[in-house]
Amino acid sequence: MELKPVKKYTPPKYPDKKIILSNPDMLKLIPNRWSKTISTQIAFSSLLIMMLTACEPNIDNSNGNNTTGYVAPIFEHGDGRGSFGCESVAPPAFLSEEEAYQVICEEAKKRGINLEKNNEVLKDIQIPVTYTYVKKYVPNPENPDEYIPVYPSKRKKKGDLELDGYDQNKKIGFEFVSVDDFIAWQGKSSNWSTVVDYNVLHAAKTLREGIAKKENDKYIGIFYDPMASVGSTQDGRSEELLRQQVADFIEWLKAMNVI
Amino acid sequence: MHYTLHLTNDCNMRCKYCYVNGENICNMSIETAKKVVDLAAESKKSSIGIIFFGGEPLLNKNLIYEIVDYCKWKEKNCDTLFHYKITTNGLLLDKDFMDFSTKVNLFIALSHDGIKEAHDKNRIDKNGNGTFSRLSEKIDLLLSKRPYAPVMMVVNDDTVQYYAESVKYLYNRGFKYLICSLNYAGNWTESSIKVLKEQYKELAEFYYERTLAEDKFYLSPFEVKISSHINRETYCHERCELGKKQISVGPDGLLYPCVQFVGDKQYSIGDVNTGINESKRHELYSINEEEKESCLECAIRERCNHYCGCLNKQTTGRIDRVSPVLCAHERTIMPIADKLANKLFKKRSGMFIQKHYNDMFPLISLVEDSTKLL
Repeated sequence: MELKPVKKYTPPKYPDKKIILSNPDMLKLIPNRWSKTISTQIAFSSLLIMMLTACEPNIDNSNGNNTTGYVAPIFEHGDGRGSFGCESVAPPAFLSEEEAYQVICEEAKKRGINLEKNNEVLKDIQIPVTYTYVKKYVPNPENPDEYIPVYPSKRKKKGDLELDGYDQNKKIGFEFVSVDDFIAWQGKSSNWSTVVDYNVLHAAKTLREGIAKKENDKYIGIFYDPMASVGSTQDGRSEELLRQQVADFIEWLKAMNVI
Repeated sequence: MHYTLHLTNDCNMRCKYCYVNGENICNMSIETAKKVVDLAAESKKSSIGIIFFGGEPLLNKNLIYEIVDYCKWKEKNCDTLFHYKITTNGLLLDKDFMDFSTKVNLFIALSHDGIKEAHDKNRIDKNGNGTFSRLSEKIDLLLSKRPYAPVMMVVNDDTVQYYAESVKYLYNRGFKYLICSLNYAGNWTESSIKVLKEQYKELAEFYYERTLAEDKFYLSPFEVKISSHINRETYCHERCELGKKQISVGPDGLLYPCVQFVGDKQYSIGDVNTGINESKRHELYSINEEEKESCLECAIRERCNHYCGCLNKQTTGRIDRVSPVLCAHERTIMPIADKLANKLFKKRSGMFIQKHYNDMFPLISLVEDSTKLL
């Protein structure tokens, strides 16, 4: 038997404790029989109050550390990576911001979420610094014949981010990490290549870290261009993968008791 | 902090997967045991756990009585309070010992592998006979006096097909705390791991039904994995830190970082006469804490049990070499546990939410049970 590191793991939809403690209404859900026993009710109510007053939000706004925010995990559907350049490289089909916006809003509307372009800005967050080259290739532990890319470490820079869509009433917003974003966030490099590599999934994960460090009262989903292979925009493969990302985000919102 | 006293390396059983082999028998002396208690008290911790282990610790009942007496005396002269636990195969449990356990609040954990087909496969006596039938009345005796006693179940590659049925059997017998662990050193194959997966799926259904029925119970494989997500920020601090939260003491007085190392002198971190060798302890701790190269890129690394040097050594011979069986186990159980928790959370199960998200659940549960008794 061999060790087999897991390449991808869909984050569970049930929340961690910090999220529940910031929405303590959930803790009022008790077994039925507790509500039938006075002593248990009293014990529960008094201990719950003690616990909640002891649990203060762990927020430190001075340097952006130790905050959780409400950023959904990245729901991975699609590689989110493609190369473009010389003739031997098969380019991916990129989704534009507008195409993605249509897909995301359509899915969200089915659940009563109205995501509009209303200039909602997240201020002073950490934006990813992107690079269009691969730092090195290492053997894939699962398949030694294959090599997988390693990118420069997750560097970030301070900045503001205008969300691609936001529902003011429900405080739900999203950012779609497109190739255009990737290029806009590019860092300086002396590397040069005829092939440029866009790893928007990596950028999305870095962005999530950057947003999560800052306190905010919104529920943010981060989606990314799945970059299905060339020609598949005709059969909607990229859109389908994006829909799956949105569907998972909506399940997460349900688990958070937001919708 | 806990001190596990290996009172003897002898046993009245010869479980096939156990390290005890009946050779070079060594029993701990009362002098050695007292030195352990003195060492524990010197740490100035307010609460210290004394765990009686073996071999089979009940082969040395009188020693247990003497150690507890000594601890009681020691408490009068220091600020430490001792609490006690024993892990036993149960064959030597009797009414007197049960009365004693109630008197001093000694926590008893019973080793039992479930239904007869599973239990008698590996848990045999010196004559090679199964012990299932002899334990039946012992279980009744144990649970009548200590209703919260946990049961420690080992799942072997040749009994994995009985896993779910065994858990259900033990649960229906009355155990509410079920601590299940694989014998990682067994002859596991891809095929037996597939069987394990099906067993976990069946257990997940059982867990789901019992939780919705608002039963109170603890089934360790799922509880630990669900907790690794829910308490993720503190999860890494709850885990074993080799040699820091628990010290094992061999019958000869040598100190070790965990039970699996007892007898292997290269892992000794001191002895009862000279105390803990801090640099050796730290050396082993550091080796264990270092992230394993093999696991660096793994997406479930932070929730995985791969840092358990004890389990790794059991299988690979080294604490810094991850056991492939452990890896297979973690990859198998994690998605099943998460799917189970997703379902229960989506259902808004009051029992699930209180058990996993309310830190006061144990206390409320105690109040509930105390009210029932009145």
